[in-house]
Amino acid sequence: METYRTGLEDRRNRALLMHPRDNVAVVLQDTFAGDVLTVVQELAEGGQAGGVEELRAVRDMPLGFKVARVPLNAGDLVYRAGSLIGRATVRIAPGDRVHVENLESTLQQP
Amino acid sequence: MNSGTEMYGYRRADGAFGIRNHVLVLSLMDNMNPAVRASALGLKGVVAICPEFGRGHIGEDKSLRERTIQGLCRNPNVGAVVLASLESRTAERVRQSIPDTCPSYAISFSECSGSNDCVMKLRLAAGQLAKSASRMERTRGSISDLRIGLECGGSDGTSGLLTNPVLGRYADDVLDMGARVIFTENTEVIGAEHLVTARMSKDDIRKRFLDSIDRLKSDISKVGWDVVHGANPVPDNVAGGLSTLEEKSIGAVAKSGSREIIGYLESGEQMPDSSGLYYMDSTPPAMESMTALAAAGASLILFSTGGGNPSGNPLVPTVKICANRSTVARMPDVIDVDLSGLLDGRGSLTAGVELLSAHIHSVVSGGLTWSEVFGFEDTAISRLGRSL
Repeated sequence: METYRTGLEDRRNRALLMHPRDNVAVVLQDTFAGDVLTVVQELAEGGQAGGVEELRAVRDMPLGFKVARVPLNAGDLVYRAGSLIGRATVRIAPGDRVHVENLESTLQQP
Repeated sequence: MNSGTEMYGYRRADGAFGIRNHVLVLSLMDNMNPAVRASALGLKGVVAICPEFGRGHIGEDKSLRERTIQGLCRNPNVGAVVLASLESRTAERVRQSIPDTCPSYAISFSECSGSNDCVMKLRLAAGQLAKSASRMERTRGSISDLRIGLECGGSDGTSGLLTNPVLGRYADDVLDMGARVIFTENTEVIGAEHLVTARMSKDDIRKRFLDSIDRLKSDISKVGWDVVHGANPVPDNVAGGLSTLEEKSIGAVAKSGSREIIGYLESGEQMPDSSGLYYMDSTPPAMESMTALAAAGASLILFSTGGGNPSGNPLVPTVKICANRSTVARMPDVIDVDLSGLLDGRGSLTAGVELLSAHIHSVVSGGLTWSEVFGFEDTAISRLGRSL
């Protein structure tokens, strides 16, 4: 790990919003509970238009994991990169991790 | 797109453009594998391929095997072939499928005087072909000559986030310049079929594709395996952040870009002459998938990985591309193209495509990939049934 926590400052990491209709963003660095996540719409530094969306990470999230941008209720459909990727199984707060513990597939068995 | 589009490779008689000039020593049945391995030891410019099995195949399994064997012999990166068989009938039958313009020998054990005599005959044949192949000169080609196979392995949360979108943009660019691209890995399309069919304008292609996915799902559930939760994502995918099958599949399909999918290929079926994007019905495990891509005529394989994978294909240079900085740091002798800097804000998707394109340009003209340097290469031909 190239960074470490001092506990005295907010660590700011980025999370990419892949498509405007997504309700999750994907974290771009290893993130720990309490870190501030800035949601960006472009990879390149400084490359986003409009207001800055910020979330506070509720749990640890390694690079590549999903973070909820908005509150989700049990049964809500979850979108990533503009496509449906699953359904929330419990209530998920903004800033919380979205993964196998609270997300299920919407596919049917053949 | 890198505007240095001059590339140098090996022009075959049928117009195909190879980026390597291998002499292939191919064992047609596994009872010949030890002889073939021994014959190629220490030889330069010679690639020995020893797939398991090869006798007693029937039905669809037999068709798959024959297609793949013939396809490997005809891969554009192959300059000459030595076939090894127990008996001469199989050797001659395969040899007849190789164009006359490709130098070839067929050696059968039944016509040799023992195992070491067989090794010597194979070795001398391979050596002769290697010497003449080494004299072939590279001539100019262009992006439109490339036949690119796309592969995923060890996917994690960075794969669908960055690596596959970069590959997808690159695929779009080279397709627009007249290249051919194949994507495959059938179980990793389940949950993303709608994204694939939306790009298939020909009804018969769409039907063949959907039928193949139905057959696949039916075969999986027939043995009591849970299609939705049992096959994918696998533990290393989950550890990397992929949560559901459809999430993994949507991320995987992203590497095929946005252009129309003009054709459907059976596993190992040679791609036709028309430039464009093809879907091939082949299984995801990398060795089998890359073998099928090689048989289909890919001259280059682009392998997207998150958690890493050490191996490539012996006939087709395999470029490993990764956006996970910890994987890249941990595996300095595996990852060829490092995209992780883009996650730190050092560039846009376009910058990633340029980086990839420049690297590919050098690999085409002779720059070795890590798996080529260390010989971390193998072959696996899928089995569909019993051996008689």
